Amino acid sequence: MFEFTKLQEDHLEMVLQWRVKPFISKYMLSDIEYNLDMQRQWFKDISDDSSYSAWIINYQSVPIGVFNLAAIDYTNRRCNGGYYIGEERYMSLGAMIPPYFYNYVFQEMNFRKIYGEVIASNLNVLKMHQMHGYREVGVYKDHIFKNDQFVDVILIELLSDDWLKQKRYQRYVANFQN
Amino acid sequence: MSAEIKLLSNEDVLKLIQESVESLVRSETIDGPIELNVDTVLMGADAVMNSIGFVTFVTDVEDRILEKTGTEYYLVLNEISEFSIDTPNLTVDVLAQYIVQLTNR
Repeated sequence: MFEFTKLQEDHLEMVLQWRVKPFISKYMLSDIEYNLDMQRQWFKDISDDSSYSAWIINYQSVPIGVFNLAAIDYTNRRCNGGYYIGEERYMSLGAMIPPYFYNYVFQEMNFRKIYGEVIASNLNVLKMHQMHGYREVGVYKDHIFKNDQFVDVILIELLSDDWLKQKRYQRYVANFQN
Repeated sequence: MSAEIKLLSNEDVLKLIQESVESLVRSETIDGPIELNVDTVLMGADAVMNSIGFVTFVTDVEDRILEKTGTEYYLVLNEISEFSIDTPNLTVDVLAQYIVQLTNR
């Protein structure tokens, strides 16, 4: 159903178009401008960075979004994960994506933890994370200045044990290109 | 000793879907009220619930099937032929037919 192919230079324009869409940028921790040169520089930077990996999410061979792992720490076996669906018509598939990458991170990479930050107003995503077994670690009050106001950021983490004990999600296995 | 196998009819499944949706509306997991019929779109454009609501709904339906049949079944969307790339829409009727087939295999 889903396949994760490595982000390549020829994806950059498509990904930038997705990234600046209001329904995407609304819940992003940082805002970026539509600048392809900066996007190419960002790609060069992440290509040289072993602690960062990004994939295109393909639904039956159609690219629909981006998934990335950041702060990949092989010593402590933890990383930060994030994704978005850039193609609006496939938004309804969005909540199905995380189990695929949790299985990849916890079973293929054998990591111990995924952690992240979510803007407090993103209630749907917080609800989804809770369903997947995340625990809330804390709150950064007024942590980001976005759309002319300070917003809170919720810190969350998911441990491998809390994920792997949920048998129902084990079927969500996809191919991740290395 | 043999375990009793409970097969689900289309009517059973439609009732189960109805009960699941009502329960999720009551718990405010999905927005209601929702008037369900066989053509109601559960997932895709014009769906009555968002993506997260749908995933929760699938989980709830799986739990209810287990409760009714005593067997764990997992719904796998790409096993549903009507759920294609061009029309990523899933109606109550299509899902119900799939569940009947799944639980009667």
